[in-house]
Amino acid sequence: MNYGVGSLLVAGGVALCLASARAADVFTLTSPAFPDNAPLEAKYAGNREKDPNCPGQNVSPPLAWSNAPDGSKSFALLMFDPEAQGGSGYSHMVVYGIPASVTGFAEGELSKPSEKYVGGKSGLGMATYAGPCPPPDTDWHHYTFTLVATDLPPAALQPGLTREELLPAIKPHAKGTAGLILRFRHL
Amino acid sequence: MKHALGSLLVAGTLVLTFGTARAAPLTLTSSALKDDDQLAVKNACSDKQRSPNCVGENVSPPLAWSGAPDTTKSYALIMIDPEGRAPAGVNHMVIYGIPADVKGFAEGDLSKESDKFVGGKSTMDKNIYFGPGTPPNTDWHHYTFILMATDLDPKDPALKPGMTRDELAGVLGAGPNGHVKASAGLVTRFKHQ
Repeated sequence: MNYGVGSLLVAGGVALCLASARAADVFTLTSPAFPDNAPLEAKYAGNREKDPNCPGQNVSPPLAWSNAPDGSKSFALLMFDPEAQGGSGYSHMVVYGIPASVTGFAEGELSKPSEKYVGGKSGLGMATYAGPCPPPDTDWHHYTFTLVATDLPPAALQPGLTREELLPAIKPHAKGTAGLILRFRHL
Repeated sequence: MKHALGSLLVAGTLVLTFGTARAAPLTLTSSALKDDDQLAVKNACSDKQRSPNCVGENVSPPLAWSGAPDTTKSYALIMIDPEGRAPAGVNHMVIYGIPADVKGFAEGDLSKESDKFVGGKSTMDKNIYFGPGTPPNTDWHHYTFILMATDLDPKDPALKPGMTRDELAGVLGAGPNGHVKASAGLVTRFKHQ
């Protein structure tokens, strides 16, 4: 009888653990510096010369992720501004071939080329992070970071792919997605 | 002297007027939700035959907007889930031809066909709102509403029913020569609790 109650308790404990594990183990993209939808400071904005909409230093925000799906071999990371270009959106960053062992990027790490990723091609033709440069007199733009886990080896894709080229290339290999949004506007 | 003073006052008023106009960009809001708030379960999709992840009643959230450019003749409105269906995301709603005198939609207004909009075609092949059907065991998905103020007449033949998001973008064009004169966004979130 004692034994029976013990089993029940053990079974209950296991069930509880499984329940918490399920909630905690989802693929998640976060920033150590910002909660979801936080406003970015000016230094994270673009720094293109002669463009008054780019008042920043093009410092990429720190990012971290956890609980990649089983079988993930590399990640692709996109940053997209859905309000830009009259709602057609604008591709601010396209990087991929990030090895599965990488679990994030420190502040500024995506602002320069690195062995930790293969640079694609943003709307500006950049292979790195291109920070926000929204027009004046607009409300908040939501810079949407999308991390895609894939089963492609890190060197599978050639450098320089645009967002439109990358998405179909990784579609058959995508294992899961996690997202984070950061906002910017001129104040 | 009086004349000069009058001119100064007029000039000052003009500056103030322009100052105010500059400070009020197109803005999309919801009386039920702040930016990045969680959608209610009722806002999730309801078609359980389509997906067991449709746990809601497909009630569209209320939306309102202000600050459209004077040249606006119609609006387009989309809802996208960038985290849906890896890697490209899901277009949950594509509607357009919303007359310029419409300043928002009440709760549930987008859940059924209406004279206030032309239905396009979502990823789910619907011409109305299709609420979140977020899979279990995933983190938050973001459901981003993008409102576009356009200079196209709501009855413009180019705004034919049933267009996808990509087809709509082709009609609206991009940049200064496109038909969109301003755009604004509102982000909402949903996940299985």
